[in-house]
Amino acid sequence: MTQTATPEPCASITVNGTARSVASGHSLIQALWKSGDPLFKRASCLEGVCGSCRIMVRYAGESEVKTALACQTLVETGMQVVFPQHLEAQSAALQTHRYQLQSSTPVDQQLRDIFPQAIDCRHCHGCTVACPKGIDVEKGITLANQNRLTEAGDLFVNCVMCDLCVTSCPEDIAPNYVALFARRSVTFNQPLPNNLAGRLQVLQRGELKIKY
Amino acid sequence: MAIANGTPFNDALLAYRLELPRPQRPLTEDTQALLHDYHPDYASDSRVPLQIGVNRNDPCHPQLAALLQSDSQSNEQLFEGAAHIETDVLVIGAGGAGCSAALIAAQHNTKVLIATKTRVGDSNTVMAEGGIQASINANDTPQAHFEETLKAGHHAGNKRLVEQMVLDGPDVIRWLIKQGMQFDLDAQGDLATRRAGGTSADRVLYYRDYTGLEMMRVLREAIRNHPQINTADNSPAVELLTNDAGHCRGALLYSIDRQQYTVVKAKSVILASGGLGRMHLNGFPTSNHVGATGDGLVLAYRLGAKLQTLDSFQYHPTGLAWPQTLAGTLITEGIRSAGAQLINSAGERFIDELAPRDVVSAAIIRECREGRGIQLESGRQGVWLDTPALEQRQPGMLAQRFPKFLSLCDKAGIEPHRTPLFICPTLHYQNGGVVINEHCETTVPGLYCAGEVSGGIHGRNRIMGNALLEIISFGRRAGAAAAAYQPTAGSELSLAHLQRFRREIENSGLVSDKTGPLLFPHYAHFNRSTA
Repeated sequence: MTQTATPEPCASITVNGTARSVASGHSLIQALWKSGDPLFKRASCLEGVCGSCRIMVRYAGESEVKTALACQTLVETGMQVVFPQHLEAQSAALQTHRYQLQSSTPVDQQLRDIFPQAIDCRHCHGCTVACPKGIDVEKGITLANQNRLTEAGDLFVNCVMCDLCVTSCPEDIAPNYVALFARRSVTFNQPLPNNLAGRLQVLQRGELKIKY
Repeated sequence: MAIANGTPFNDALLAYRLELPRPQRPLTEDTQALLHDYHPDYASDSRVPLQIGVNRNDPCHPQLAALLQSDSQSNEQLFEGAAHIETDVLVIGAGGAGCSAALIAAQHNTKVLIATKTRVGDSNTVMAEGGIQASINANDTPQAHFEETLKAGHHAGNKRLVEQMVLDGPDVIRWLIKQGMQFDLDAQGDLATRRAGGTSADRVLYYRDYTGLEMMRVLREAIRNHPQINTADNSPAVELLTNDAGHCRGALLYSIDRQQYTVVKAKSVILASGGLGRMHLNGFPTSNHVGATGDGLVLAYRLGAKLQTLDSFQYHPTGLAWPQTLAGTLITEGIRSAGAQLINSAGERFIDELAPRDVVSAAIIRECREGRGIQLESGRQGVWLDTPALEQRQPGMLAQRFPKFLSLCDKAGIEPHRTPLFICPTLHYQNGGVVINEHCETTVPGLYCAGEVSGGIHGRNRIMGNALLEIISFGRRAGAAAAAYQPTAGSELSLAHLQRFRREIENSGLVSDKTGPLLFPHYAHFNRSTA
């Protein structure tokens, strides 16, 4: 990494089907802003953790369409980009998954009840290919189906809930939500860590008051 | 003040040597003088007196003052033409404070609408890396947390609010775990802790450097699953609304998707709309998300809510300064807490890296002004964050603890175990805000505030981990208080407060074409009529 003087060269790209010339050397979001594009609904954190700026992109000379986050993607001449709308919230897959962590049902049964489609995974790899964070999403579903919820959840440390795996799943599984349920329920059902439980008891006894 | 030239970036990079010793410049003993001479808050042009409103004559940053005293785009015609909906509690903002407020408010069969300018969870919370403070270790006390919060804030914080927050700490962590949030554990299965700058005990709990992401993932999912909570995405609040007694009873929302206005009538309103980093005060880059434009302050001020500490902001010491495309992106204090040092162009340490954030930032600015900084061709100056030396002392530390940081480096094309990071202070946090009491009540009945939009907790400087604690501690309190509130006066909504405010603008000759709230930074090219 050495600093190079950049006289703002241009890159020719296609965004949502429209040919554009934008300043190169920037992320896609920054380049579009610099070109005067109104862009506020699909950009938020600019650090790759909110998932709002997900894109599908095909680079020049490549046939494969990849997924990525626009804030993490540098513009390159010849790239074709689509910002897919976030429609998952209205999708049947998500509308039907409703649960509370507090339940008398065993966790693995809860998982079947909330996500009945998970068992239908046809191992098409669509979700894993779609993940811009490189998570082995399909393996997570396989592990969850084997009731290995801790291992399933642990695969999703980097998940930003961009929902691209939801979009890509032909069985309406909503894989990231399966994993999030796994993570949440495992955590919910563990005993509180000792140092926290101990301090809560002391506070409940009314000790450790604050003196001004 | 004249600014000396720093060492050109490429020269400094070539001169950097991992194996050389790191001599220590004499430690700064007079931190007050350091702040006075170098911190942006203390510059003579960093405050003007407000000319209208409840805080007339109070000092305020000039850019914020112009916005607080700007006109509204709302009018009677637009108000009359809006659709109407009703709820019990309206929450404005869907970061950590708004979501926790909504979840608690909805507990007792209360109908909650949570409205957000972007999507639920798109916020500064989701980006928080360092962690959340809670005094839980045997060698630590809430008293120490209390005193260190006040001290770091230069004793400008409200003691009662700070007391509540530190005593809430352990139960906030319990509540988050019961929402399904994970924390890193040590070998004994205890919650792992690290030390924040300006504190004496290991009190920051964390989940890798994804604490905010993990928090937001579970809160967003809890909101989505709650039968009593409805959400309105892409729906910024553009005005608060009052009844005939001047009490807050709702808000005017603008739907970006439908380009329509909606009047939401509520029994009470919780404002949890966050900070203002995207105003780029004093031309600084920012670590904040795109929607952090100070909207809540503007809406509350017009309504007559009292604000405080409007001339104090946090410039986080370690914003990435190179590459330019990522300027402002935060590098977590956790890395300094883990042992990374700051060094100038001569390879010297110049400050205790875990001094309070305002002191560390002032010291970095001093190094640059006095010619010991490193300089880009653009003129931007900074210093090194010495990650190679950290990785040499503790091999594997970065990969184990800081996955988000490594992903940032990957994107920036930097190998942090070989190359130091070029950093300079970045606008990070609004220390002041809307005045609240222990129930999150503002000076306007019916209006509650929680999170960064409120003031009084962090004084004039915040320590790492207290922001995440504050948003959940006060978010929960706001939710409980707003749900219990029973409005007494009439329920006929109006924009009467706006007429009063406009008269004040005219009477003081402040008329301009500037309008607020901003909603988005200018470079996002948002326009309400054509959105």
